[in-house]
Amino acid sequence: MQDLGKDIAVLGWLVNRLVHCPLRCVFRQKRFYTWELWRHMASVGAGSLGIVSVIAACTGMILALQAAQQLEKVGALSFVANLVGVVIIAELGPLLTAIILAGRSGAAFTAEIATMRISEEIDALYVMGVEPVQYLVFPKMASMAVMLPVLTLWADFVGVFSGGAFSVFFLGLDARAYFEQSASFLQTSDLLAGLVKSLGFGITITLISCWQGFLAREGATDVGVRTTRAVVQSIFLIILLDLFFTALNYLFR
Amino acid sequence: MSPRRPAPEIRIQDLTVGYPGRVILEGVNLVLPGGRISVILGGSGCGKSTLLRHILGLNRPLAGSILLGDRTLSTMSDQELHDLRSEMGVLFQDGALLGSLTLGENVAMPLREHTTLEESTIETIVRLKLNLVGLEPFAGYMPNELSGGMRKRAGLARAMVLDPSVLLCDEPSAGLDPITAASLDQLILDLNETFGMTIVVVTHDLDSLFTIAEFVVVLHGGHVLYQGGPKGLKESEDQYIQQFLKRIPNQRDLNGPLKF
Repeated sequence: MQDLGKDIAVLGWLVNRLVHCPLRCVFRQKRFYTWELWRHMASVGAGSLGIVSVIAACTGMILALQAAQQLEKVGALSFVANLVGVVIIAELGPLLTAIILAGRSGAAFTAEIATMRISEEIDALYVMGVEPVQYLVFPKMASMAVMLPVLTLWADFVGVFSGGAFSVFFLGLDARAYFEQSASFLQTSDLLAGLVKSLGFGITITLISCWQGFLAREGATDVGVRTTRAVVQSIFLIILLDLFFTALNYLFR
Repeated sequence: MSPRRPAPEIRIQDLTVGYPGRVILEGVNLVLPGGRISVILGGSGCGKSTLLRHILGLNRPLAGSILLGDRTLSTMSDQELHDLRSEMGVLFQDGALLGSLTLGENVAMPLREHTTLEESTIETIVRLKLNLVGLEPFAGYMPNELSGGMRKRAGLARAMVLDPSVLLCDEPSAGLDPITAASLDQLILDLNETFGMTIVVVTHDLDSLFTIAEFVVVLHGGHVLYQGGPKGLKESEDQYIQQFLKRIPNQRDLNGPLKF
């Protein structure tokens, strides 16, 4: 219980420092570490592009197949486009992308900070006059806040496109009709809701991952334990947030 | 950068450090002389590194105070500590170089944080400091491409980059072969001779101690067991100090599973 109190105190400290980071940059009290931002953007964005594309493509095809099985029974095969589009853009695009990034980039964030804590690199930052949250967390947060929505947009495109291509080549649907139906059925608000969600997911993943990294005490085992916790807690919170966002979207539709 | 400051003494008064429910050092009184090399000696877990962290202001003491010259570290605000740290250089146990930056970028970091120097000037200073530790050709290398000894020398170059008046070294010879350890000792001696800074070295390496120390502090059981010159340490009649210097194992350890 005492440990939980300490852990929550560390989270409070992290949030407090993080909130001040943009202000410190604006008032030039601290620098913005641009090279760290580019490094994380490349790792989070370009580094995840392959796996996000493959998973989005597979999801689009799986959805098309599942939808076709059910809709064929009621003679509404053409509605595959509606179902694939809305499920990918409103739900699975943001959700799956966030889960992939929690496992890939979130875990990397935790392992990096935890290892730095154990090898005294965080102490070295303090001694050099570098604020660790400003240097380590803020660029990660900024890169995740930009790259997760961008990757979500890409996953939406790949998912819808692969679902369409699959429906055209294997289910015999007309390509033009499929994509016209998708475009007319989907609304901009669906896309925006997905992007807002993904921004929330990105902030959550970074916060949880960096928090767990700062909680590491000693030894390689703790790095592993903290990384596992970061991924599990991130995914758990992503699902809860998804439920929250979806409920809000439903209430204010 | 500001001109070189006189090397201050470090005065530790009635210092008690530890964590809630666990006291590591109690009522420690010490004066580490300015401009000299002081070595803090003691067994594993005796509080040497903890004392160093308190001198750096990374931890706050439970009681007592630490003074750097006439300034009290233990009551300073974070901003005051931030400003003061530009006068202190630290060599951490494994160098603590930032893994995502090259050697040159690591050494340049304190300059970028504490000064408004132009990039060309920073590059020149970095080259000079890396040259000081014999690593100038490796400026573009990443820390994981260097050996343990090179990482420590690079850590020393980074610690020296702001021309500090106080240099703190945490177990500089730990994990190094005797030749590299001796080279690092020589480097510390040269730095002290050339720049006249206050150097505090935490170690349990006796060879290193008798090579570099002008002043020795022995910590044991949460207290200062000895403070004085290295000659006096050798002549001490204290049982623990003699056991430490002659490397005699504890009797209870001889009764373990391994028979000698």
